[in-house]
Amino acid sequence: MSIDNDPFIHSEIAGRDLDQARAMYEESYNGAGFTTELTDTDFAYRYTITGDNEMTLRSSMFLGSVQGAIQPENEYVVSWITGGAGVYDVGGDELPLQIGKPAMFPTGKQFAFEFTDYRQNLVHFNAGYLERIAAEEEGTLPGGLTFDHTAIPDDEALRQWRNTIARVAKTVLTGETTTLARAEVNREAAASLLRTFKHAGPPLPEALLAPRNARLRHAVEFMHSHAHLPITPTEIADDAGLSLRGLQVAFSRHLDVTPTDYLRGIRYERARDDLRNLGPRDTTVAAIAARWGFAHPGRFATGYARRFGESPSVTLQR
Amino acid sequence: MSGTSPDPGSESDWVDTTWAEFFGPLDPALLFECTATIHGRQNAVFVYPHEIVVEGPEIAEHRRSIPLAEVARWWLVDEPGAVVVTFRNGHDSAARVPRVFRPALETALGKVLGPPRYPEDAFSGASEAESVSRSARVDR
Repeated sequence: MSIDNDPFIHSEIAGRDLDQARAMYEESYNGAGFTTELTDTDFAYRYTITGDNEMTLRSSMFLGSVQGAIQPENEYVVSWITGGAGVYDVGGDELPLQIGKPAMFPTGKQFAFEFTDYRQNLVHFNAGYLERIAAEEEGTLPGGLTFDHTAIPDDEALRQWRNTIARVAKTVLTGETTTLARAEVNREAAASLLRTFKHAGPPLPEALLAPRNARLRHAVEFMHSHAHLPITPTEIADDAGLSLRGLQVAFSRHLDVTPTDYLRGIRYERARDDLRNLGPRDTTVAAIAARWGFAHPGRFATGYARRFGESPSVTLQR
Repeated sequence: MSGTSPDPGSESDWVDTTWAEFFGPLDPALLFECTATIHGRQNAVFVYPHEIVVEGPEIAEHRRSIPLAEVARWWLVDEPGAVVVTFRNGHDSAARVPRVFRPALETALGKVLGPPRYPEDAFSGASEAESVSRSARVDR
């Protein structure tokens, strides 16, 4: 059985070698070019993972100095240090971490960090999972969430977050639970995170709020959550319980667009998010276009400029 | 490096204590450790100054200690979400751990055993997973 299909994992890696540690952390957080140094402390590192494909509770200990830049992919991460010192640097804005104060990893963008002799707890959420919970809890469309990493949660929200995480950690870390119970605590943690940390998701067209348009809304939600896959109008219609003709009529009547054009619009928005969050040293316009299913970079650039009023290369440079 | 987990005194300890502490203290004699428990089945590689201890569900009695000098070759095979590390010293002993640990595993084992050396039959005529299963069967 592969680990991907396994619902629960409890794992650990630890050692006393800087090269091992650097390799481990670069891989874990999609980083590169880390620099590490010894401090007065005997060097050791330790990284633990407990949880499943929806959420994992992790801990990290690094008794040395490490700095670099990372860009986590396909996940949302909240963390807090329990010892030592750390700072995030997002585009020149330094965010010193305080012991016990949770902070979201900046979403969708590369950011720099520097940590010394630190211990840290982290909660990693699978991106698709957290986006689905956000849609269910908040009535929004499933899709990429953008967290404001500079926003400071109020004291009451943080108190509730701590209480929730204490319950969740007790359940998950002991491993003495059922799949169903773990699904419940995963959801509880996800909902608490969404209540605690300011964020924004995809906007919901007003026409989709009417109960009579429930199937249309279902189709739109399906498109948002599957935009990264090669889905067809027939599959979208089937999933929404509509005929292909019914799907086309509903989109035309309420959203004034064809299903194919609507899906293309979602993909343009996702491409724009990527271009904003990455820099010219990280990617190219052609790579982003290909990632979102645009086979011809020239046509992508033309459509992008028509939609957003600037060329994709300008967005990437900003 | 694993041991008995501490018993937190209060609810807030579950937030303020580094979760690694619930895994137990680090063994000072160990150079490297990589473990994964999946559905209660333990997989692990422990590297000591003079030996490697491998644990896995396919190993006889689930655990084998191999002096470093007796490891004829070792290699890594990727699976979806996992990497399988196999040591050969007459027997093949394999452990399966999360893929994210691969670079550290390769670095750690490379320093004590030299670079990985794949056996001739590692991938021939079989998928990677089948190859690993075949290696593991040698052990039974």
